[in-house]
This record gives sequence, structure tokens and C-alpha cells, in this order.
Amino acid sequence: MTEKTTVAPRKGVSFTMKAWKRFKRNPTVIFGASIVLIIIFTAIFAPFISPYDPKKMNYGDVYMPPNSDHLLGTDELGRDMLSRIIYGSRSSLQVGCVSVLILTVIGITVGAISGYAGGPIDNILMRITEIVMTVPSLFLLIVMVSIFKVRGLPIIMVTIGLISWPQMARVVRSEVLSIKERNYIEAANSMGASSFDILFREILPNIMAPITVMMTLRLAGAIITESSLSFLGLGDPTAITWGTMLSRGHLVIRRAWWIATFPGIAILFTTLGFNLLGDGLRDALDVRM
Amino acid sequence: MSQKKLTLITILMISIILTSMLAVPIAGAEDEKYFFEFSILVISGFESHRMMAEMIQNELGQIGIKASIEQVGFGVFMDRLNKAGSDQALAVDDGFDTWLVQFGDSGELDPDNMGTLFHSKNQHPGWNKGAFYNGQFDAILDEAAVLSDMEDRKTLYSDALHILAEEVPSATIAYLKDPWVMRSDVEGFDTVLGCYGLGAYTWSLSDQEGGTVQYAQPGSLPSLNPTFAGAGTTLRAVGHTVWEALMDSDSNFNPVGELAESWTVSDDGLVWTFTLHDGVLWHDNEPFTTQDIITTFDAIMDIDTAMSSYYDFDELVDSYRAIDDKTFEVILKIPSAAAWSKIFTQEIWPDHIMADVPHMDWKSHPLNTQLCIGTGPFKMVEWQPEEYVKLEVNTEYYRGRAPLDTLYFVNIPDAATAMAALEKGDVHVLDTYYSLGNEVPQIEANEDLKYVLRINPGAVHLMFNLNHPMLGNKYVRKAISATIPRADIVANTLAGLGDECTSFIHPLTWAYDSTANVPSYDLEQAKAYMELAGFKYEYLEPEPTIPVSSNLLPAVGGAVIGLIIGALAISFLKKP
Amino acid sequence: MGGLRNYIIRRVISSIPTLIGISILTFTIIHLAPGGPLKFSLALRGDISPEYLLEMEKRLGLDKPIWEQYLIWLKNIITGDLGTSYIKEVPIIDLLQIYAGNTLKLMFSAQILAVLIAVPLGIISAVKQDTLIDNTARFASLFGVSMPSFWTGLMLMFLFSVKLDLLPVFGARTIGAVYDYSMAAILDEFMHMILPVTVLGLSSAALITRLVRSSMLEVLNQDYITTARAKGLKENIVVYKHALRNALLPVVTVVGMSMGFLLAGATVTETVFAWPGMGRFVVQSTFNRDYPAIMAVTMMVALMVVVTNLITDLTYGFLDPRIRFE
Repeated sequence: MTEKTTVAPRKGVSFTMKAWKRFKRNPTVIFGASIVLIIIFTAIFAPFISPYDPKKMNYGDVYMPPNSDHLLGTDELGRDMLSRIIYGSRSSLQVGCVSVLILTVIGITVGAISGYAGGPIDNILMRITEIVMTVPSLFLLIVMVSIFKVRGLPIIMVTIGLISWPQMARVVRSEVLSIKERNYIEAANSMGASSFDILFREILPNIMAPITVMMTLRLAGAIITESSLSFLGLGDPTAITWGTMLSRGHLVIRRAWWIATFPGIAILFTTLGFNLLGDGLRDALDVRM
Repeated sequence: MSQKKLTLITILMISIILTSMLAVPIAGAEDEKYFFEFSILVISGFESHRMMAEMIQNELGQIGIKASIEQVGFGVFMDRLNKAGSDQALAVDDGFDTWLVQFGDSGELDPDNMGTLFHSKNQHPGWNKGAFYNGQFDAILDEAAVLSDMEDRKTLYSDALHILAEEVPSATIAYLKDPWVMRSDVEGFDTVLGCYGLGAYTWSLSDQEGGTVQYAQPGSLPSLNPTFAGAGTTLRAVGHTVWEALMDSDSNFNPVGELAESWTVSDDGLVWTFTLHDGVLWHDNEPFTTQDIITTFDAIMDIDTAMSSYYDFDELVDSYRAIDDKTFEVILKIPSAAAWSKIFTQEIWPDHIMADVPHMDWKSHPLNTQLCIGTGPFKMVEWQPEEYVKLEVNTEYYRGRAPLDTLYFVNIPDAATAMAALEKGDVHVLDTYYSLGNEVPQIEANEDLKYVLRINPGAVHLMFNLNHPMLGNKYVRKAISATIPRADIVANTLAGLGDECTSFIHPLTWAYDSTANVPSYDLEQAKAYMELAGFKYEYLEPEPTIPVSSNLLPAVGGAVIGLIIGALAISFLKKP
Repeated sequence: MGGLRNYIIRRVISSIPTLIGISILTFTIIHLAPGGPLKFSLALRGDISPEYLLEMEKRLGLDKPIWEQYLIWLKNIITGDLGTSYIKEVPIIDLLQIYAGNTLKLMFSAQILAVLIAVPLGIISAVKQDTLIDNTARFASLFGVSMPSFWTGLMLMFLFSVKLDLLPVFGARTIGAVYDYSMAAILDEFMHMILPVTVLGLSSAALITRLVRSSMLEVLNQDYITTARAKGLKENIVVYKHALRNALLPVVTVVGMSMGFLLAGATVTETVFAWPGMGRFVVQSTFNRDYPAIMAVTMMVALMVVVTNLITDLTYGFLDPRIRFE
């Protein structure tokens, strides 16, 4: 209700330099950014790094505690935990990326149209947003699985994306609302630019900062959501994801603490990395959310 | 504008990261060569089943069959079985290709059990959901059911077992011994009275008179009547504690009397005469009489009541009558050795409450929920649907009061939480449904805890859908059966607490025939079966080690595409 | 305050389309799922003949077209009849009374705890921007949001309940305890709440801390604060009297907005701690496709969201006198 504009660049120092300075000044952000880079690197080069085939079972070596052969031990079917965690970074990041892609596209579209058009369209779109926020997400997931013939991880990624866009839509809407009153938008308007041009060429580039921040935060959120779904028994049993490993490992924690602990740490650090990065970006880009 | 520059860089970076991540192949999605593919349907929440499925999947990969695992909730599971049974649907159409399940929770060591799963008369809505049909097998079972000479029957069942071993309508995996994990001070648990419920009647606490036992289960109770609830949780909580039947089985699966003090069977096996216990009272102090049994049987025989035992009654029961208040007679249509477990273990309902209730309304009658009046050693006093049901000892019980004062059946969904509660002493016993086989080494090391094993009369099966184009071939089924690493499964998932399946009935069953063995684990033999089924292994190249490039290329390609998309986005945004 | 009353009435009326929209959406989704609802719940009971199925469908009105079923449902719910659970054969209103109460207790306590932790932490972070305190506070708050809550829950449970034996492991109260509002009973319930509320509150606290921090920072840099400082007001007064009030506005929004998310979190927390609440009830109902129950819970949640949104807006008005309810 009281949107204020704060992203106006100041004279003298360039915005990029200022942002970079603020970014640099913050050691936690550097920490977060390095984690994210390491995880992405791990995911891409997983086959080079992992010492074993993550799916190779060895019935003789089940529940092996961490040792020199298996640095992080083995799981209940004798598979190397380190390799599984390395490969797990792929599916976990993929869950994050796919769902973030979906929620960003829907969120930006709904939010931008809603904020720019205003009036009844805004009203209707915001109602829909509210509705999506309300319907139990678990239920949506189960129904999606039964409607679409695809099963397993892909459907989980898509569903997480489909249920978590309302937040993004709200952020985008409020940013659009605050920006569309500005002089240069009005100028463009009076020069006869089409609504599409104004929305996507003038407004959107100016609200990329909050969108980016939101994306990093939602990415972390999606990874957590996936692990919670596994915990509730809705995950993909054969996918190698940290969530699946964690939810299985917690059942045998007395016998083999390492099966749950290491994926847990992996999730913790990845989401921490993305959250720190998002936080840092928010400070650097001076976004209010 | 410099902020815009930063924005553009951000877009570029995001699109590169996103697309390269989208293109990274997830481990397990690599391109492997295989003959065909099928899905294994597993109920979620059963860790040991999931592990078995993964091990089977792993071995099948070595003979060129790709198995996928689908883990679904019990409701979805049943829905898909029924869909397959009624519409011949495969997994892609919401039916199933194979389902992995443990039978025998309400079974007993009777060779006729084979028929429950594989007799064609038990196709959908019966349990033969995979549409197995073998006329010879059906005929043998029908004949064996009505014979009274045990030797002849044994010969017939042996023939039936040989047919199953040849046709392999399911791949049998393991016989389980389920552990009940409990506090050391819980006593009297060793004699698990009855495979239908729990023998709570004999439980006691070592250091005190009376006392309270809390029994944890992973699921909540749908209702308080085992007949309608259809859930093992209800059966274990109130079956044979609150409710009672004419007969029950002992821990060796032999019939014992419950409400019936004694019984006689006529020579032709058709007429069963029961003498009821004296002084049996319902929990509201009404006397129990033969009229209660008649009312119950009347209801079951009416399909409108929708009790699942209707089909058994319809098949077996000809007529029944009360000779006097304490004597009851049932005449069967055909002599059946399994009659006692199918007919006389049915819980009896109180006539003085249900007599005037239309059969259609029995299912929704409050007797199933808050009213819950039975004749058993415990009375139901409080039910909080998602939390617990509280039972108190019935001091008027006709066989003498049970040692315990109070019994709680508590719902704790997560196994780790339940173990924590047990260690702390908040609960006393954990149900077998928690599949705690993996905890056995820890339990043995902890002197506060112990476990009691129960022989499960049923086996874990991988049931085939014979409508599947490939699984319809018996050599393929034999190959799959020969690929199942039974010894490793028993050692790993059941912590050695089970036995490998060698046949279609439990080795303890009197009709067991050690010559009718199922194909055991042998990959070479499995491949030979596959060749017999028409699959030629030379078509499958030796499994290539996945070249690193194919693993990396998508990611790099994705990054390049991301760069292009990002650049396009920028040029689009920059134009004006 | 006539304006306020009119405002509330208008808000309530305008929320009706939302509620109807939610019910239509959920109802449609229910009927998109393959296998009729009844067939599904009856399947749990074993073999059911097709004739019986048809008869039961007729009795429950499931043979009618969807729109007609919806209208019947709508009529029932307006008269206050939430229906009977297919699985439990109990009126849903009886179940919801218990579960909703438990869940609300959990959610509100968690939210209060979150605010109690987050607001001071956020203020300190903002006032001491970029110092060690700030960085530590932010790092700690991010920790809370970065761990899957079932994992945090189990860790805390092992530590405080099993190892240290300080707190109960599961449930909303000791099994068998009576609700008699005696000191012992209240203490017992309180002890059972500590762990679940902490776990649920932590993730929410992380979110609010960050929000308080960023909005405080923004307010602190604004002209009127600078003026206040220039006028020689004490720093404490500046921070707490002028800045905080304004910085709390967005916090109120988020606290209101996150009720829906909190319910999702509650589902997991309730499963870990065997807490008999709505989150678990909805999971159970979904697994068993207990459709009347799903509809009832959905509407309950929708109502909660609508009400919290209304309360949020009202609180807004009290915090910021510039806003008028017209």
C-alpha cells in the first residue's frame, strides 16, 4: 500500500560499482556464492569426481561406516554414499532449476499483467493467486501424478513449480505497481509505445533485481520441498536425490548415522549457499521484499 | 544505464545456469540397452519392500530387463490393482505390470491359500488380480478342497505346486519373520495368540500388577470394526481384544475356540456344532447368545451389508441354526478344511443393538466408531481418531481378567519417532508394520529393548500381470524368478530374519512339497529362460561403460544454448 | 468507526468469490482424478461387488453430473453440513474440531515465537549493519530456513527428548491425559508444544528476520529519520519510536501471507511429532482420497487465509494511521 521507490541510481558512482562494493563487503555473500559455484561445478562434472557408480550395489558392503574406500560410507544396499551425494547434486539442482523456471515464467506473467493492467484484471488475477496458495499442494501433486502419465521426479519438479508461483507473482506485481508511475514510463506511454513494449522493454528490465533474488530463494525452497515430499512418502523412490537419501537414512539413524547426515549436510549447504547469495544480491541491488 | 547493464549480466548468468542444469542427465536416466521394461508397484511406507524392489531392479538390469519402481500410498495401490483386475489395465493405464506385496497378515498355514491368489474363480474382485488362469490347477484345487483323506489331498496339492512352479504366476521372494520391538519389561508377548489380532490377553508388565501398555502403530484406525475397516491397524487394535469370534488361531496357526468353548465336526465335514462359553457378557452387560451369531451371519450373507466375508460365506455356508441358547450349528455346502479360518473367525456383532438396523446401514453404524461394544477381554473407553484408542480391562471377562489394566494403541506415523519414543519409554511396543528388521543389531545391543519374532504364514510375492505382453510369457516369468537374489534380500532387508522362498506355500505347511521348487537365483539360467522366450542376447551389445563425453556434453550444450537465449533476451530488451 | 465496519463487511463479501473459486477448483480436481472417490475408499475394505458400488453411489449422489454434485455440496456446506468422511464414517466436523484446533495452536504459537525471535534479531542486524553481529544473526537465521524441517525436528528430538530426557517425544499431550485445565495438564500440553513449535517457528523466523532487517535499513536511511537524528533525538528513540513502527508494516503482511505456507510446513512437523493436526489429516485424506474430508479441509484453510488477510489489513491500519478504511 505504501510502495516507495528506492532503486534510483545516485549520481557519481555507477550503480554496478556500488552494487559490487556492497556485494564484496559482505563475507557471507562471498561464502554463499562460492558454495553455489562449487555445487554447480560438482553437478556438471559429477562423472569425473565421483569415485564409484552411484547405482552399483554391493550386498557384501552394506552399512559400511566412512572409511578409506568409501569416504562417506555406504548405504543400505552397499552403494557408495559419496558418489550418490555427488550425483544427487544433479537431480537436486535440476529440481530447483525446473521448478524455478516454471514459477518464474508464470509468476512474472501473472504479476506483470496484474500490476500493469490494474482494475478488474488485477482483481481476478490476484484472486487466482490466492486460490492457488490455498489449495493443498500435496493434493495437487497426487492428482497431477494420476492425470499425467509421466511419473517420478519430472512430475515432482513441475508440480513444485506450479504450486509456488504466487509469491513471485505478488513480488512482481508490487514492483510493477511502483515503477509504472515513474516519469519515463509515462513518457514512453505518451510516445505511443504499446503496452507490451512498455511492460517487457521498460518495466521488466528494471525489476530484474527482485526477480533474481526471489529466484535464488525459491531455488533453495524447492530443494527443501523435494526432500519434504520424500519424507512424506511422495518422492521418486528410484531417483538419486538428497531428499530421498535423507528421508531413508533417518529411519536407520541408530545403525548408520552417515546415511542421513551427509545428504542432510549437502542440502543444508546448498540451500544455505543459495539463500546467502540471494540475500547478498538483495543487499547489493538494494531490493526490498 | 548501469543498473540495466547489471540486469543484463544477471539474465545471462541465470539462463546459462538454468539451461545447463536442465540438460544435465540425472544418474539413472542414461541410455541403457534392454529388451523391455515393466514397472514394480510398491506400497509406500514399507522400507523393506522398497529395498527388495531396488535389488530386483538391479539384478534384472543384468539380464536386459528394465524395471521401474513406483511407490504409491495404499489407497492408490488398491485402486490400481482393481483397475488392472477389471479393465486389464497395465501400469501405463493406471493398472499394474507387477506388484510387490506381502501376503498373509490374515492368512494361515493352509495350502488352499494358493487358490486365493491363483484360482481363476478368485480373479477380480478377488486377489488374483493378474488374471492367472490354468484350468488344470483350478480343477485340482477344487477337488482337493472337498477331499477328506489327508494323503490324497497332499498328493493333489503337490501336483498344484508343480503347476505353479512351472507357470510362475508370481515370483515368490521371502517368508518373513516380523519383529515386534518392545521394552524388556513387557511379558507374555511370546505367545502371540492368533494371527488375526494380537494376543493382548496374555500381556503383562514384569515389575507390576496391572499397569498400562502403549502399543505404537504407524497408521491411524479408520474405524473400530475390523470387518469394515479393512485395515491391519484396526484389526490389531480391537480385533480379538474388544471383538471376538467363534474361533481364533494359536501362534502355530491351529484353530482354538474363542467364544466357542468346544466344537465338533461331522464325519463328512459338513456339519459344525459349537458349544458356547457360559457367562459371556457384552460390554454393556447384555448376555451373549446364539441369537447374536444368527444376526451377524444374516448380515454377512446379505450382499447389501457389504462385508468382504460375503464371498466366503456365499461359497461355503449352506445354513445355520441355533439348537439352543448355547449351541450353534452350521451346515456347509462343501467340506472345507479352511472353513474355520474363513467363516468362524468372523467377529460377532451384538444382536441387541444391531437387530433392527437395516443391513445397508451397518457400515455407518456408531458401533463401528464411538460405541464399539464387543465381548472381548478389553473394553473400548476412548477413541481419538488420529491419536489413540484406549482400552480398559474387562473385569467380567468369562475367561478371567487380563493382567493389564489399560492398553493404548497409539498412532505414530514416523518410524524414527516411534523408535525414539520406545527408547525413552513413552511407548512399550512397536508394531511389525514399522519394518524394523534393520534395527535388530541395535535392539540386541540395548538391554532395555527386546524383540519377538512372528512367523508370517504368507510370503512376499512379486505378482505378475499376465496381460502384459512380455510377462504373459512363462519363460520371461521364470527368468525373472531366477533373477531374484533371495538370499541377499533376506540377509539385507530382513536382517536375516526370514527365509528364502522355495515354493508357493510356507515350508511349515503340511502339504509342503520340497520337489516343487521355484526357479532359484541363477543369472545364467535366467538368461537361458530369456533365450527360450525368444530374446537373443547377441542383439544386446555388451553393456558399454558410459563415455564421459555423453555425460558432459548435454551440460556444456545446455550452457551454450543458455548463452544464446540470454543474448537473445538481452538484444530484445535493449532494442528501444 | 462506521467506516471500519463497512470496510469489514465489504471485505467479507468480496472474499466470497474467492472461496467459491477455491471450492470449484478443488472439486474439479477431485473429479479429474481417475477412479471414483467411492470406489477408492471402498477398495480399502476389500472385495466389493459392482452392484453394491452402484447402490452406494446412488445413495451418496455420486451418479449425478458433477455440477449437480457441486451444487448439492454447496447447499450442504451453507447449511453447515460438511459431510461424512468416506473412510472414517464420522462426521467431518467432529474430526476438524480436534485437528483444526491442534493445528491452529501449533501455527499461531510458531508464528508468535517467530516474531519474538525475528523482530529483535532483525532490528539489531539493521542497526549494526555489516558488523559481526549482523552477519552472525543473518547466518543463523538462514540456517533455520536451509534445513528440511523434518531433519531439524528429528535432531532436536534426539537431543532434547531421548538424550537429555527433558521433553516428550510425540503427541499433543501425554497419552491418556485429560483436558481439565489444571496446572499439570496445561504444563503437559506446553511441554509437548515446545519442540514442534520451535521447528515450525524457525523457518518462519528466518524469513521475518530478513524482512525486518531490510525494511529497517530502508526506513533508517529515510529523510525523516535523518531529520529526527539531526534534531538531536536519542538514537534509541529514533530506532524504536520512529523507525520500528514503519518497518513493521511489511512484516505484518508477511506474517499474514505465510499462513498458507505454514500449513504445508505443519504437515511435515505434525508427521514427525505425531501431532494430531489438520496437516496430517489432509495427507491421510489425500492418500485415501477421502473427498469430503479434502473438501472440508481445503475450505477450512481457505477461510483461514481469508480471515488472516483481513486481520492483516486491519493491523496495517492501526500501525499506519495514514491508511483509512473506506
